[in-house]
Amino acid sequence: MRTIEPFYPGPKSEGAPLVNAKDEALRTVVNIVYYTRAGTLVNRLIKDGARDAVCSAARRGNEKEIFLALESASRLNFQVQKEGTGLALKDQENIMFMVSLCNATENFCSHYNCVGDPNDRLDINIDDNTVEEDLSCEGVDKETCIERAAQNLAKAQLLSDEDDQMKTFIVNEWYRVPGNRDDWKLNIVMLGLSAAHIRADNGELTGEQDPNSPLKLMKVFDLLGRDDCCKISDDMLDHLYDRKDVVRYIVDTLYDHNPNFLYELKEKEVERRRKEDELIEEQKSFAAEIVDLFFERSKPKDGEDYSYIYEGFVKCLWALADKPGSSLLISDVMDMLEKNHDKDELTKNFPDIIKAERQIVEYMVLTLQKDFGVVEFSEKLRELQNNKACPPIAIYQDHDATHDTQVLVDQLLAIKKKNFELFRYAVFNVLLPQSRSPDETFGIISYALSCREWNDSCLHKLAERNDVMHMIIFDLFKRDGKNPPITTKERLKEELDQVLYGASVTTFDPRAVIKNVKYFIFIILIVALILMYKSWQNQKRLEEEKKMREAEEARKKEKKAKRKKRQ
Amino acid sequence: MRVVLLSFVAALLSSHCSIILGIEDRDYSDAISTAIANLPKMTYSALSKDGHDPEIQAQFNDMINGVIKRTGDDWTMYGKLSLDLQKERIKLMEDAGFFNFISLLLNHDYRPMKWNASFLIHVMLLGGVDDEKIAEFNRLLVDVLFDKGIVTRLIKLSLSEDEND
Repeated sequence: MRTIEPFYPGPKSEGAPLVNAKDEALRTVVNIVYYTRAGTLVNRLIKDGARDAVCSAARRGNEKEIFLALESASRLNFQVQKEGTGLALKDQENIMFMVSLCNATENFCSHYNCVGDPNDRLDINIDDNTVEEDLSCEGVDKETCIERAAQNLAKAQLLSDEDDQMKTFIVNEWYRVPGNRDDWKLNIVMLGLSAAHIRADNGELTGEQDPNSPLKLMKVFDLLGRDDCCKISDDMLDHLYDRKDVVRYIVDTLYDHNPNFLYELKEKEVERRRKEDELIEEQKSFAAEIVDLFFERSKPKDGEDYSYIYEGFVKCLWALADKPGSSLLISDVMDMLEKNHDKDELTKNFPDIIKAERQIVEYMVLTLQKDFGVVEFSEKLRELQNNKACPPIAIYQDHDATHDTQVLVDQLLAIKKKNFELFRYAVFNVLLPQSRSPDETFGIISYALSCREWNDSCLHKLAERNDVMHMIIFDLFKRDGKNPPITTKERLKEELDQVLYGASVTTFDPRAVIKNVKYFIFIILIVALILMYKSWQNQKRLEEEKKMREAEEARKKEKKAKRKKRQ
Repeated sequence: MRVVLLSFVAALLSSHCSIILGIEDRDYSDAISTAIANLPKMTYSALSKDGHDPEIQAQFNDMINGVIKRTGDDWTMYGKLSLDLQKERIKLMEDAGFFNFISLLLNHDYRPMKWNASFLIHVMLLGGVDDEKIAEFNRLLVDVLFDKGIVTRLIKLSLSEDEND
């Protein structure tokens, strides 16, 4: 413990330095923060402005005091977090607090040029005759303070993309910290990678705009490869793979820097690619099964051309392959199709198919608008979306329609993505009945829906509407949530049956009735029964009437006979 | 018999010590009271290089030696003692009016007095970061500083606009 001499102003204190009560108070507050018990006093400290004081001390103080301030700040934040005193770490004020501290530390580091030996401790030479003794504070050193600050930053998740400067600074400081704190190092390295990523986006990694950037990345890379410092875990690699662009940059730029790390990285990547390939193969196989299923189920009858069925399904596959993220590639679709179809013919048909989904949805929206009116339709959609917690998702940004239509398209697409039932409702209850050729479309689809079996005839009819078939299968492929994913033929069959059999639309369209033999026979039987019943009732009534008439005639004859007898 | 004699001697010594301590406590308390009484007179004109008043300067020296230095010295010693004794010491300081004295220093018009108050607390809190016993002693002190409103005053001072006097 220090002694307290000399005090100012002492007797005849000539040449004494200026008294800076504010600075001394700042130092004292930092110490008070350090020794304040967790709990309500922390709130009181914050309320009284201790954070500002600590930040101010960090900015104004000498080296030791900056780090004592950082240490105090860390304690303050830690206590706030520990006690849950209502000031969450995500809280804006707290973020600003830590940002201020980091800025203060950065200023300090740049001022004292403390870059170099990672083990160097602060060498304090304070040229201030008011403080003559050793002010070193045991246990508080630069690394500790940076670590604490970094911990708080990472915990607070306050390193948003805008804070790349701070992240870069922290990672640069952090990499030099010796020790075994792998967990924190990983966090900070990730933050550094994020910062590097941002810099890469800004074109700062070319080495021209910011010649230090590659060096910084090298430091990060160095940290990743240091056996004594940071063992790379699977989790870490997973994180790294999330930032492939950064990793690739590092690998390309610093290939020779750490062969071991690179080797490990490549091993992991090979394994990962192998898994991806397996998945793609699996999906290809599944797609091929679907193709088989489709043709198997839509075998043409004698003399019937089934090319339109084929075309409909091609459209489905094509649209699926066109979707980003789909493992079913267009080339795979082509391969599958070429087995059974002429390539030139396919190529000729494809250009108009790629945007089929968009066209259909737009058409649906226009039809719905016509049916309900724009405002009403929007309200209805919004209501449905609210009920189903289905936020609108903008998909087709390059849409050139009017704004209102675009909004509706997005809404409907969002519904389709999130709520298949609602989409189905839109397709079968609104779109198709209001189709451009209602007689044809309605008859075909309603007939298909009223079928109790998904037979070849239905497929033919459905396939006449390629867009409908496309939508059904496309959504079956995409649907998720409660229903298990479709991975087998059987599942696809089940789902198709569910969609078609379970639809709510029924029809009395005469063509559908006539074409559905079972339904027709059933109706005829019922009618025949009714007629037989009516006929039986009628016959019975006639017999009764006849009997009554005979009885009446008999009575009349009897009366007549009696009258003759009397005469 | 020997036990009785020893306990008697111990009792005598203990009472003697307490008498001495009591005297010292009274001295400390008196020194603080005197310092508090003299504080208003310790102005810039009385203490500055150009116009210092020997009488006031002597009072200032008494304050430094009788209160400030003594508090610091005792603080160092008590930091190594038991928690109960530390609590007693802080209670004694409180009873003697030490914290009231610090408050007056912090509110003094002559800015070096504020500096002295801050510096004293700063010095008292600096030691023993890694020594749990001293750290607890410091925590006790901070508790009282909060109670007396000194922390709030210090924070205000630290955030004040005035830089130097």
